Amino acid sequence: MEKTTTSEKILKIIGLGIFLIIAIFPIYWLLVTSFKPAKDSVTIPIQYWPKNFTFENYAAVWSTTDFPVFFKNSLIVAVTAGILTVILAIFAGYSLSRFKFKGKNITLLLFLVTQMIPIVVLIVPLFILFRNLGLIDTLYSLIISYTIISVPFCTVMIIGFFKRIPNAIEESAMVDGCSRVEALFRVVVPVMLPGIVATFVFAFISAWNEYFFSLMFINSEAVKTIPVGINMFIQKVDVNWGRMTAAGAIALVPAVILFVFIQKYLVQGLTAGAVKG
Amino acid sequence: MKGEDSKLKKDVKVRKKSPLLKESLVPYWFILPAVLLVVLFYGYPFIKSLYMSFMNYNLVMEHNIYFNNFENYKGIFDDPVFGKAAVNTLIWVFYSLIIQFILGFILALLLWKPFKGRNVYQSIVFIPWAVSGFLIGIMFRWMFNAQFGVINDLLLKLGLIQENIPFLSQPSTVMIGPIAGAIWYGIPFFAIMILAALQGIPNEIFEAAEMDGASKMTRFWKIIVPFIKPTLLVTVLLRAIWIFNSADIIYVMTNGGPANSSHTLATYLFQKAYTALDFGSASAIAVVIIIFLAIYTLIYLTVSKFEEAGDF
Repeated sequence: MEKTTTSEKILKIIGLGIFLIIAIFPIYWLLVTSFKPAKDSVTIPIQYWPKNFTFENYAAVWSTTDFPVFFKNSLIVAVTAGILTVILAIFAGYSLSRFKFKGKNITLLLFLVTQMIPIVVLIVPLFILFRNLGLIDTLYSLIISYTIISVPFCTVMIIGFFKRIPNAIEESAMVDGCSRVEALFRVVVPVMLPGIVATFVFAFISAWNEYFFSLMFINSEAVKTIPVGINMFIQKVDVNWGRMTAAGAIALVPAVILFVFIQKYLVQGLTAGAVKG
Repeated sequence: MKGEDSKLKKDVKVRKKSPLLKESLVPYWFILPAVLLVVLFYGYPFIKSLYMSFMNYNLVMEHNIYFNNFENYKGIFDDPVFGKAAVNTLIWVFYSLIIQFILGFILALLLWKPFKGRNVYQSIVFIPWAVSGFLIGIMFRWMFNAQFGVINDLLLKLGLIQENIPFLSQPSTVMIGPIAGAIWYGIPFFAIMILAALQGIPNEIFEAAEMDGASKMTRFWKIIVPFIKPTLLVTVLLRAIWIFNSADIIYVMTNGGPANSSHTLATYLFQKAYTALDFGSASAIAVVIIIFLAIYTLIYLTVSKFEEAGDF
């Protein structure tokens, strides 16, 4: 269609290379620091590759701190919030993509407006609400909060996936005697599974990554999630960067693996749902 | 299985009789849980914040909670840190947004035409988007470290500076660190959105332009930009709000310091609530933020013509 000159090709490769370095370098630096003995990360000249490669930071984080507990709690919270979000989003998305009804546009507007509300604004009132309900310092407070945050956006995202599935599929199932809910879960959901997984991952990652709610709502060691847990390392005057980066690297793994795994679908979902909104 | 199926069929018949399950009500039942959740958990805090913003409400003195009219508002508007935070918020949003937009746009253009290994490249270059603000804060705080930071080292090696800059511990440079982190995080967002828009441009348009002998620059400004303008507008306006609201990178990197010089409205609110336990003032800041964003959102909705685009 169009001729590309050699110089343009070279320019493009250089450009792509620069973006690759920008994307990777901070993560590379996190990993390099985590594999150095603590004292090597605070010596001059700076080592761009660990001279004395070691796993001691990881071992220390995993066995001398409560990090495994934090990790488990984060996992419980993110998985539960992800599942709850997906269920609510499937129902809402089904309704919004398959029916015309009064109040539909208002609902979409409502969901869009929630995207404009800062999380920090919700912190004080939700703190008081959860305290009255006796949920402060429990994982429930986080599960509920993260589900609330993710539902509007994930609903919009899942609408995009619903639209790719023809109505005929569930109609024929209903003719065969399935109820609507059965048709939805036995016929439609399996077909759009990649989209549902992508939605789950989106909700999982937002829950996994959230910081302020967890800091505000959680106090006891036993129910701390990763961000609150690692926060103790930062608040100390003398930050141990070896430990810190090792903990950070472990925290990075689930989100990044899931993201890379379903990146294609996530991109589809985002562009199908969000841009149009 | 068969028995179960016929039982379900019977269920369907029984249900159809109930007026609550009329066909016209079906969409409402499906959407009810999500709407209820949203209305309850966004609506309640909204009203509660407004209410509390007129109260002397400090968690440390819970026996001493009373209405104090506009004291909280007077307090924050007299507070120099609040003013500073408001200015910082604008700086934070403006620079983060404009740079990540330009870089994201360039990346999208680079990714537009297929090349070998594009999928793998894409999944690597988009990774920052999966990293939490909290972790970005840690990574960039370490990279911007005054003594052992890799950024100082690289700048020295490149001859761009003569001695280390204590980026995060002096007010004049402190915002650079978090903004760099925010840009790193935000490039993939724009790249993804703009790439999708680019791929929606029909090929015929280019062929026609090529026949007319339009240069690359002309094609960029006369075809590409106008065609994807709606996407650009919507993503920029929406992203501005998200950056406005994201406070974790700053909070982790600087904690608002040194000497409160790097607070934005969002981090300042969190500090009032979390550290000072002054829920009254925190609520007043929340109300100010909501009013500001409400005005902004109205502009956003008008500009992006939500009514048209929102009809899925």
